[in-house]
Amino acid sequence: MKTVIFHRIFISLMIVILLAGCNMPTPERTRHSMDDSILMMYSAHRFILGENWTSEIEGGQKGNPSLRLQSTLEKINELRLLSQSYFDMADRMEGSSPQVVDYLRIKANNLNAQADRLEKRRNRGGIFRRIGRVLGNIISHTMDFTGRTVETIVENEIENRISEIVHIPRNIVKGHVLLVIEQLAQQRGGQLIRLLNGRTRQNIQRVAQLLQNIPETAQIGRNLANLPDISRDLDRGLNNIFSPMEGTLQAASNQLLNEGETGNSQQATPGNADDEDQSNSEFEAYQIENLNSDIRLLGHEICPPPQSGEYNDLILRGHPAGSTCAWEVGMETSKVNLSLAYEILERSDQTVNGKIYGNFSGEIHDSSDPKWFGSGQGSYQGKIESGEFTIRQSGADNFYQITGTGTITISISGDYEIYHVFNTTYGDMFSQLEPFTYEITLPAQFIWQNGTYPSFGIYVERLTQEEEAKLPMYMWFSFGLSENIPEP
Amino acid sequence: MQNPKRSGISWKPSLLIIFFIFAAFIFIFLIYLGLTGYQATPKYIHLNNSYIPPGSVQYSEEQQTVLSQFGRLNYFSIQFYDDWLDNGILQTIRVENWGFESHGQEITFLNGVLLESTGIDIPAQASLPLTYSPDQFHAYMSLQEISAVTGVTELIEMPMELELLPGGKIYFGPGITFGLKNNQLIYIEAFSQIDNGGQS
Repeated sequence: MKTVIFHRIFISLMIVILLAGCNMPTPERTRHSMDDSILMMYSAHRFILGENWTSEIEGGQKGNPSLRLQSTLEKINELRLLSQSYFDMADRMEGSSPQVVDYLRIKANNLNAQADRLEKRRNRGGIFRRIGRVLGNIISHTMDFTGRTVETIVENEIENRISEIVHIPRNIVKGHVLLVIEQLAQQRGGQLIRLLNGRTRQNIQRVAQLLQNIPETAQIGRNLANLPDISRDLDRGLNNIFSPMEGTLQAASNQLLNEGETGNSQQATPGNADDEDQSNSEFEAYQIENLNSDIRLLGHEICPPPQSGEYNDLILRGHPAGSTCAWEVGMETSKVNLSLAYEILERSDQTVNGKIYGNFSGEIHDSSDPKWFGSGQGSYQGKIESGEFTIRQSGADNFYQITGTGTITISISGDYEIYHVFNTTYGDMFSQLEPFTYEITLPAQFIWQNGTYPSFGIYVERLTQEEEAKLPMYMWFSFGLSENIPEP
Repeated sequence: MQNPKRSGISWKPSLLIIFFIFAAFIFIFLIYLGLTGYQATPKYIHLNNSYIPPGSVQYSEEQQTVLSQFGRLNYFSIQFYDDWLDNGILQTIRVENWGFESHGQEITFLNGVLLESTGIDIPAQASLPLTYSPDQFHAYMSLQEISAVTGVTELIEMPMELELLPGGKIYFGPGITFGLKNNQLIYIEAFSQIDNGGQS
């Protein structure tokens, strides 16, 4: 009985080992990173050149330890060199492009970690590997696997055999490789910038200008500036996340005003900021239908009804001087809550002056779209204070300008690895490894024109060792005039 | 009371089984080492290819213009990788570098769009015409497909170390070098072979 049991266990074990050893390719395509491709090219060139070419490029001595050790050492050196090239590139771009610098440094650290792992393995010694090589050579001098005849190559013949079969000029390879690596890294950095820096044509142009100012990315910047379709593509990509808030606010305004016209809107006493708290009890929940079920608009205006026929824009035409409006908006998916109030101080036919203040808070959470977001938990809160604005209509072509001052404070926390707050108004970003508070101050001279969306955002990311940064969870606030302000 | 004779008889098969299992483990371990060593060993392979070559990649207008202006291509490399683009879709990126020695230019394309043109200073070599062209290669082709489109059946296979790139293998053929990860092409490079029959 015991023998039968042992026999069955043994057979089962054999089957498991055989299955494990088969290493069958999976039909599903795996994801390949740019680094995979670069590392492969590095390794290939090492064998083509048949020498310690990385040292040669760096001006060092050619390595000449035993071939086995040299092989592993070179790989470590290659990783370190690749890592260093990322670091160097980051240094060159320091101050010009924080996003790319940040990205390059993350890549460099990941590659260094990979080199460390390789070095540890080498230090453990390769006795089993050497036994394996001997056995491998014994069992397979000439074998036929899956329709191909195979002959193993003795290690000290590798470079000669490769040189014989490839038969190409080495100096071309040498001059070519670093160029390719730089181009690839820059290209990826450019994509990241495009992704981070907003969705309007103006923002893209700003990024393009930024890239053009950096010698290494000048061509990318020029290409970016000359691709008219990018803004549309970018809009499509980000539209699902950011746009509902904006579009719905405008539509909700119209809905409220329409209700006001038919007598459903409640009138409140104009007042100052304290009135917002007072009138909380008067808030009603508006379920916005046919717009985006994700948005909750809580509460409504506490301004007097707009003057007859002027329903199109709350600030510009809807309310007389002295009125105060307060809004509260919630978005279910992003767990955003925004309370915003503005006070019209004075107005004329062409100009509106006012104050703006508000609070916002939200949760950073996993998105339903894993392609875009990593995972993690976090939250943010902030306030808008000391905000003053002037809106001017210039000319008869429906052209508006907003000038504004104010301070926006954002505090961000969570279990992410890197936190960013970016301010697309100025095209910059602040990043820290720990939660932090960031303050954006808007200068008076800054002019927002039709179609621009001065905005700021919160951006966090979680990294994995093998992959590039998992694309982040972020939220985005945008203020400004909509692009389609109708004629009065 | 236990019978000492019966007890002695029952021990012998148990020891035999333990010894057998131990020997089996040693044997399996050696086989495992041998297979692992074999997988990590560079090999010279001869493919018996019966694959039908896939169709060629369509050049973009910019690429066609470059080819018509610069003529003979001396070398090229292509990198394939996946990246999330602005629209949130994981897309395969194809970065191509084309080298024209006679014009001293290396030109980079990103998914067929001209990205950059860089001056190169490479001394003229007596080289044979390039026998491969970039449009032969699709992203993530298998080894058999590459062999089918290039006609190359004799290659050196160089497995990459697991710590460096798991599943990575580099192949060297006449004037061509390429890398597959999990049997999917992610890097390829082709150079004009030198004419003097020797090494450079």
